[in-house]
Amino acid sequence: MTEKEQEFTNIVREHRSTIYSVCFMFAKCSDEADDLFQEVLIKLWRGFEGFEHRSNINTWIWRISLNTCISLERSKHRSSKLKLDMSRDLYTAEDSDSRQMQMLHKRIHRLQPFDRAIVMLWLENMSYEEIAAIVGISVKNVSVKLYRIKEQLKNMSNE
Amino acid sequence: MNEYKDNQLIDDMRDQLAKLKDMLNSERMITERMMRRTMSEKANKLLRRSIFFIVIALLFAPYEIWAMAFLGFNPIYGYSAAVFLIIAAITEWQTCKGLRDEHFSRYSIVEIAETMVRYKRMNIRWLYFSIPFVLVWGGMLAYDILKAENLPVMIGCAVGFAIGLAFGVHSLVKAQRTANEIISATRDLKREE
Repeated sequence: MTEKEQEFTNIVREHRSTIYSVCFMFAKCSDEADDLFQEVLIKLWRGFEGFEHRSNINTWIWRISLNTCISLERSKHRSSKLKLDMSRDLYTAEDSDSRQMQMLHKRIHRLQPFDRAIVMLWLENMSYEEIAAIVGISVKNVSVKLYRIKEQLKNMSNE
Repeated sequence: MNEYKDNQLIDDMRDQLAKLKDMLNSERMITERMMRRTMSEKANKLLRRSIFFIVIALLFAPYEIWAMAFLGFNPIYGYSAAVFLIIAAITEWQTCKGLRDEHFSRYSIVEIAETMVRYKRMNIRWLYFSIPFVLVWGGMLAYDILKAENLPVMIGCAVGFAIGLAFGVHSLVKAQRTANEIISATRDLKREE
């Protein structure tokens, strides 16, 4: 493994939960989430060559992960499946933790793809400025969108 | 009261997301497709290098016959060099078999490792034939040039030999290193399995 590959592997190991949680929210089943995860990694690897550490690595990972998931959600294009080796299927497992994940997934997945990205960043306690920088819209636009998203989530919980 | 309920909902979602990340952190995830893609890109580089050499060898074969005749050497030098280049092209073709993208996506990890080991072995085996040939052919040519005391041709041949040798060694070392990287990636993947 080259030095660059080693560095990339370490970054992926460190941020894999962030990447997978984005994929989890955008996919409908574990196969689709695994596929998205692989696609995001490929995009990250391709972008890593040109990444010069000028922006925060965390911001960069969020941006690539969300953009990949949003664009794949829109195109609905999926390549051949290769599964990740995970001990449980978060979409179907019956334990209480998995049920909570399924509830979170159900709520977030009912939002539009772009809104899903915003709400995930907001749940990560990111500031409006950080969210705006990642999704590429103005801070004001973020606050307007978040207000609408909160209303939607409120309505969902009342249903 | 309503505001409290809304905040509770958001807090719950935050907790759930944090829990999801904790759960994922404890999971082992094999990133096979990405590693395969990286290996395939490297193999593609080797394939492009091989195709470049095949084209160069096939173009230089008739050129050698013409150049040797033009410089007034025994035609046997031109013909033997042309035959050598054609053999080099065929060997290179055989060596790079299996490096194509469609093979890499279909192969198992063991098959990829085997292909790369074969690639490295063929590269080394080619040296067993090419080095003696170049030494004999070059030695005889150098002897003829010295006998004819043709200084410009002597300098031209020496410079050409030095450039060719440097380029060949550099290219071989690079190809072997790339093959080693692919083999080491298959080992990493196998270890994760």
